Amino acid sequence: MIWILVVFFPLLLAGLLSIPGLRGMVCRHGPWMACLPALVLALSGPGAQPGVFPSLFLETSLHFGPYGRTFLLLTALLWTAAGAFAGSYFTAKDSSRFRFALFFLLTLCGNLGLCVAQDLASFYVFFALMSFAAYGLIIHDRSEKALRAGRVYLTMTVIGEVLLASAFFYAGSIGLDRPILLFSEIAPALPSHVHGSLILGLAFIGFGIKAGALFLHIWLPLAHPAAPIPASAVLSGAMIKAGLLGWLHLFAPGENMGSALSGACTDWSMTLAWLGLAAALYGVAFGLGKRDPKTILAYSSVSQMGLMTMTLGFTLAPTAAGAEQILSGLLLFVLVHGMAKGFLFLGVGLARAAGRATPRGFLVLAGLGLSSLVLAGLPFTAGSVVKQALKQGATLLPGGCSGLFSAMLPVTATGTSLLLAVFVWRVREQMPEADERIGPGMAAACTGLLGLLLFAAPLAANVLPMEQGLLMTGKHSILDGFWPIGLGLLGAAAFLKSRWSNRDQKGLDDLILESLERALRRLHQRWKASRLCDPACGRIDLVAWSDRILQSRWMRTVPDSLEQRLLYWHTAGVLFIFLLMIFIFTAWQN
Amino acid sequence: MSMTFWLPLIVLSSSLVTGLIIFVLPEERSRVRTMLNMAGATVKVAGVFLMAWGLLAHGIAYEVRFTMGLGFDFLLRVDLLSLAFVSLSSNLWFLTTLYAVGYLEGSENRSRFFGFFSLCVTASTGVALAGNLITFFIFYEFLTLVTYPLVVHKGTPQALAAGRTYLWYAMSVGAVLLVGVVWLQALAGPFDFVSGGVLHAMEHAPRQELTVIFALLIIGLSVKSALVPLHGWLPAAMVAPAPVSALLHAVAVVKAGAFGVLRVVLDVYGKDHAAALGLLTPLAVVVVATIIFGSLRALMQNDLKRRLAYSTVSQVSYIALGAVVLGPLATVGGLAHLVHQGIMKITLFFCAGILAESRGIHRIDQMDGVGRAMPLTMTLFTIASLGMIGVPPMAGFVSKWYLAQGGIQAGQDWVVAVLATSSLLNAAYFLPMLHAAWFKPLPFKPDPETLSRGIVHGRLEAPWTLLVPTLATALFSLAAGMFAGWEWSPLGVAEKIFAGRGSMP
Repeated sequence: MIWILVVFFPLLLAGLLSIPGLRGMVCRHGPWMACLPALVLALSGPGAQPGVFPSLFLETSLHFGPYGRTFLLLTALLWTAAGAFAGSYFTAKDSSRFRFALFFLLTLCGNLGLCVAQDLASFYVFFALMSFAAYGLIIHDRSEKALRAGRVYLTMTVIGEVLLASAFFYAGSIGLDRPILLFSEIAPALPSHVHGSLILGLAFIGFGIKAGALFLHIWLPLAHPAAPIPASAVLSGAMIKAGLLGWLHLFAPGENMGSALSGACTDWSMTLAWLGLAAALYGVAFGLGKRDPKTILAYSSVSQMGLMTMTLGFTLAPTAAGAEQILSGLLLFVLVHGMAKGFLFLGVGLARAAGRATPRGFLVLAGLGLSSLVLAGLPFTAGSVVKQALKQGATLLPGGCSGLFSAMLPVTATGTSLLLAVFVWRVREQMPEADERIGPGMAAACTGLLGLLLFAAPLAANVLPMEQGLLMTGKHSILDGFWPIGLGLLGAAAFLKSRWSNRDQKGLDDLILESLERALRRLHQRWKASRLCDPACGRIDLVAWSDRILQSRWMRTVPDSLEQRLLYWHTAGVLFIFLLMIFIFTAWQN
Repeated sequence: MSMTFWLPLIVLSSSLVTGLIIFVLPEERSRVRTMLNMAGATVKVAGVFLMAWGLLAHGIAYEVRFTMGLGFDFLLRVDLLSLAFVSLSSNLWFLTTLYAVGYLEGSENRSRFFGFFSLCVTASTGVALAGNLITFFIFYEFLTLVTYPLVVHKGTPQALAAGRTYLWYAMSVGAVLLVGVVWLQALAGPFDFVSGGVLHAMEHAPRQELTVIFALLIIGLSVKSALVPLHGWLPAAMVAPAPVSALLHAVAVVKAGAFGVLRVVLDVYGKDHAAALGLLTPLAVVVVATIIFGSLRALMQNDLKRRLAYSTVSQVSYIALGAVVLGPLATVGGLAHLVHQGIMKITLFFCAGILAESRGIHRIDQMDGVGRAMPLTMTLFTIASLGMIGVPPMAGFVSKWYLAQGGIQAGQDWVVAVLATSSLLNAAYFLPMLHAAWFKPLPFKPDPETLSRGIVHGRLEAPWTLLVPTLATALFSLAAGMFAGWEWSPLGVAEKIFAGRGSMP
């Protein structure tokens, strides 16, 4: 029962929204209260019994599984923070906050559910709930920009859902005589199955759209910034991870290691690693040209998700030893990135109400800077442990690739710090002159997240069995941690001095998107103008056809004239004699 | 002469008798009429539940048999398949009657309307319970005749034209069906529906003749089940009042056609035998064409009910898809979709009726911002249309899941592609409506004239008689997906039907 409570508590609160008397209170406090049960469950440890609900969907089973607890913890923390932030972000007079609370709670229900869903059907249910409800969050402002982002998002989402559904259709039927729905049973069978690579391919794209894989990410830099601040935080911090979780469930690193079937795994391992690396660099390169801090953050998410994809690729490598550690490192990465990105987004909101030169403004900028550094892997923070895990992971790859990826890691760290330094600068540029009102919820949410990121995440990291651990020793390794960051900062300074930084640069995906949109618009116009769009076109009306025949001139004249002809004596006489002869002939035959 | 004999007759005649009484009731006795209607519907629902309980829990065989001469038997029999259809139509009839009472309040010719309404359900009950082809045929044609007055109920030239189209299509094809039925009888002698088919037991069955008969039967059924290219009457018939559309699309007519296809493929020919004769591939081509074509045509429409009608054309063929795809899970999916499509589509038509009645909304471009004005109606509409797209946890997802699994099981991978394409198209014509309704601003204040034409009501956005049935069907379609794993959910029952069909008589 605890699972049902955890997952459906937000829905219950959403139901309370329909009672006018409670509406104001739920709008204000519902969002942060909604994931308290999930938080308690995630913190209370792995002791909870698996929940199996045969009647719900197609035999639902809810449990942590190998990854669920981390994801649930992150999701619950981040949504609580975002909920608290939202509570004071929307003023009591704001009529849109009801709408926001509704979609917030619906999306949250989906996000919590998919963290603990262990079977195909319920995972898909929660994934779809989250994806579709998030549309309401993205277009919350109803601005032209938000609507466009929403359109792109919805199109990509629907395509993703359909691909994913196809993947799941196949995955569900790999059992010969009975439907198999549990991820833990499907994943080991996939590499050897006929449809294995089809399933993985479809799921890779389907989840990749959510996770912002390279070129499937084009909705992301539009949609994440378009949403209100608290929604962006959860979109970029928590929901984006749902795609990764899906990949983890199906690729199941650790399941197939060392088996004879590692051929397919090697392919996927290299594909994921290369795609991830490309996305990591791509995100930095095209994020730099943006001026809107939230857009920069979205590109940073693309880049960071790329790193995670790359790590997933490492763990799929056929050399088994040590992959468990890398997997733990990946989970830590998820946690750290989620909290850091959540904080960065919320911090943007905070910065809008903090004066540029006031103490509060300084505090906000310091917080943003610190969490950026954590992401970039500053030594003595959780970020550095993540970097160590990545470095260790690169060694798992076969031969030459291993060296190459190891060499690229510092480059990505440099990129991260470069991009985030530019981000902090942009935030500073856009801060107002004097302090404005900040709600208590906003401040509390940001402080809490930052505190957790700086102090609690390292504790979690310390549990990991890394060679160096948090308190690294040796000048060499500390230096290794610092120089990419220093280089990144220098690069950022140089970039901001240069003339490229003065205006919004169009990235490759802007161009792709624009040309796609143009093509689609042209197609749409042609469709609108064509006869095909006419509601009457393609109508198959057999009655009209038969009417046309019945009322044609031929039908009106020919039968008449035939009958006229029959009235003549000689026609009738000839016919009569003819019939008579036939009659006699047949009679004679018999 | 025990209950096993009388119960099917009671279920059949509960609506027949009320219908006949209603015809003679004077127009203004609306209270008596409503009471009669609801009493009849209640008796029918109760009877169906009794039969279901008897059959499923105790294995009682309900059967009524008369001899009609010429070697034809009139046979009513309750088997698992008929139980699925009869429980769907009786329950939905109950709700539709309630809706119709509210919808038609104060309009003219209500006695005629409700009389034929009851007869129509009688016919669909007969179609469901028919135990052999000739009984099926009798009720099937009866259904055509009694739905005509409902289609033309408004009496406008448009309605009359639609009614003429409907009759034209249905009657001409009915003749083809009769030829098929009689020919088969002549060839195979009298036979009853048997799960798994009867024809494979025939010795030296003439292959060609069976193929031609199959074509005749399917053509005969294809008008009601709206297979392309014989679907044209359905979008035309949307001029009828909303309860009639609900009846056509979800309760009786279209369902009778799809049910007939299931009967012919599963119980007359037998799926395996039909496949061996090579009959399923052409049917599959037609079915797939219908699914895609219906969705494409729906995309082009601007009239709300017409778009829904084309959506039905596409969705009903999922049921037939369950019959033509060889994997056993596909049959389960098709059977479940018989129910799922019914509850979802009836919700959509109920909502369309409410929109038309209380706000005068008939076209999709009038739907801007209506979600804010009528949140409850649009919530229900949203549930049903997401279900149609196949978004979980609504019911449509479950059918698609099983159909696809069946296709993969049988190595017919095109099913997945068809379902994916269809889902995309469904999304393309449903999601813009939802976006317009929820996220666009109301273009103008509704003019007072529209409002005064609409129904006067208190705090509710529509009279309760319209809202309650809609709410019920929407909740059904949500629950059917949410609790699909439950033993008695539509899916569970479909699985039972499928599993039980081997052993049942």
